Amino acid sequence: MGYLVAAYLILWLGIFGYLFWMGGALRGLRAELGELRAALVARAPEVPEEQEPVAAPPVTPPPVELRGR
Amino acid sequence: MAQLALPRQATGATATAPWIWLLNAVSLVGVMASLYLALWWTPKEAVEGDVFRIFYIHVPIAWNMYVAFFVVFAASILYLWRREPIWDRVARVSAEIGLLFTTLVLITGSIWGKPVWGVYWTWDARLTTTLVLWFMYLAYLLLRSYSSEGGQAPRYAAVLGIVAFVDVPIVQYSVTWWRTLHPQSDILAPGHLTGSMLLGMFVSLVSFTLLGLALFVQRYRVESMRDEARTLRQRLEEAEG
Repeated sequence: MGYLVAAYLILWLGIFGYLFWMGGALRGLRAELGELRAALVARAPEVPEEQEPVAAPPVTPPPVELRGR
Repeated sequence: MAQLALPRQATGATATAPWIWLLNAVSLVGVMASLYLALWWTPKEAVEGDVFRIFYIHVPIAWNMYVAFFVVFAASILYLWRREPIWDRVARVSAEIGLLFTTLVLITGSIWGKPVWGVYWTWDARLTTTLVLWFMYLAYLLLRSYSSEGGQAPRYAAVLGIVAFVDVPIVQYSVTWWRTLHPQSDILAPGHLTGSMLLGMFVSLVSFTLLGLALFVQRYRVESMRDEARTLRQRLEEAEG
């Protein structure tokens, strides 16, 4: 029975130890990525806002002078 | 409204996706069920007694070991062929998980060997070839750890990942090719396990495969975030420099 307990214990210690290590790495990386993104946002040059093209004025025919016959 | 010229990759989300939570939950429930079946539900084996219950974890983790190293093999071929970093990352992650499972296979097998064979370790063909496998993938991971990022390291690692896989069929068939102490690998073949014992083994195999997949997904996320952090650091240095 002792061998059985030892085998199951070591298995779960191994798997949970690995999960614990991964959880720590994930938390650390999340924090690092957050800092890096913030630093990049702070340093990134601002892209000027694209201006909407101004609509050309409607082409209207020149006024025709009405002359009396 | 002004937009910031933030790199596209930098906007990637790091939150856990719902399907990952689901996978974790299903694998956890499955493993709990398999533990219950293996430790309480299945009957005591006639010859070995309770020690036989070690097989309900030993066989599934050996299966996961094979799957992980097959993934390393396939991803290494794909990397050499396509040269896409994703395959290098998949191989790297899978090698680490495979090494974890190989370590657990060796330890649980040794614990089973003591009451049954009288020794923890013997230079049996199956044990020796498995130990060689462990050293090969340890070498693979050391190569990754101690080589500089980029450059030729992924290519060399891919070649090693393919060469090391040659040992996997040798491990599997060692019990057939040589006279060994280790039991034959056809434990799931008809007549070996029956009824509740077969069901217990089947549930263990499925749930440990899901657990292996869940570990792979988690580890892959860590590795992806590490690669992303490396890229962002480089961009930041370029921006400062």
